Amino acid sequence: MEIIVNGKKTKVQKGTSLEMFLAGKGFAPGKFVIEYNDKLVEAIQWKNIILEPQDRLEIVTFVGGG
Amino acid sequence: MEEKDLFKIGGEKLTSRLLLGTGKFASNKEMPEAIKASGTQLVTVALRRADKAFPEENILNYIKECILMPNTSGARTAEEAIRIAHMAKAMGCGKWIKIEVISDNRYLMPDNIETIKATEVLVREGFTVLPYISPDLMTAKRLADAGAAAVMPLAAPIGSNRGLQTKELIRILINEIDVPIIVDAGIGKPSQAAESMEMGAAAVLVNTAVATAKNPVLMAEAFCLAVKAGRKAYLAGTGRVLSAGSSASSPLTGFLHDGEKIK
Repeated sequence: MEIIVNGKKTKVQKGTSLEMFLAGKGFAPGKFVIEYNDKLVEAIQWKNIILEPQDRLEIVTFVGGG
Repeated sequence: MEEKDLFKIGGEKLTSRLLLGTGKFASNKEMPEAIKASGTQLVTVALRRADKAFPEENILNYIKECILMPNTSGARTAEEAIRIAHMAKAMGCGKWIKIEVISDNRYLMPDNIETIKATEVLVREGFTVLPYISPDLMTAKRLADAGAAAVMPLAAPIGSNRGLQTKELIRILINEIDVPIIVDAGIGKPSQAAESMEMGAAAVLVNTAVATAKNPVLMAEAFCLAVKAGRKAYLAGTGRVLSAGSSASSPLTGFLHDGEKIK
């Protein structure tokens, strides 16, 4: 199935939790923030969210800026 | 004197009146030394999509012992700025936020109206809000009334290094607004930072001028000294300016030629 990650279509196996998806990509809690279908989700909730087709994820972090 | 002349903002007491942005550095590795040389205690960062899990250099590894102030750059409306502020807060680095709302792609001028809306909401939510604006008295008044911790008027378009182009408008804000006025954007040289401070600005925020200097660390130190010099000059009270003529600094008596006949 496909979900949208940072605006891009991304393939994910059915039944994957948000926690599994992020761990698989190497995203560790702490230096990133996750918005799941337009809502911020804390790291503690990641394991309870099972990804569905067309779910939207935003993964953001700090970069240099003025 | 510096210990007594503290800069209080958002409940924090800062000894440095220089705020530093972290964009445009050739490498994050230059940053710790530049931050140290600047003497700043408050640095800005931006929030962006993370396309790689392990960017070679996560910026947080290069910023130590400073208050982090995320900006809402990229926001085109108050709503987007509020969303970015919420994401920034979720990063767990405090409650400071620089509101930056820009929908003009050519000159990158801030949208003062959307900025007021975002400030009102985020102050109510408990953020320490520093809005970035085009210098305008009525906007600044509304922001101060809304509870902004400071107001940050631009000196010149972002990243232009063109200096205090809006000087007279900023002077009005300094005279009329009770919250600290921090000159942000466009400051290109230490002399312009000093001039801002001499006018009575509470602080100066610099990024491009340092990050794009040939030697960013040395330039950071130069800005540190300029901001201190300008502040001291403001506290000292600059001397009067003659509209015409001159006034000798040395006594006009006791010349070696006193008593000589004028030929």
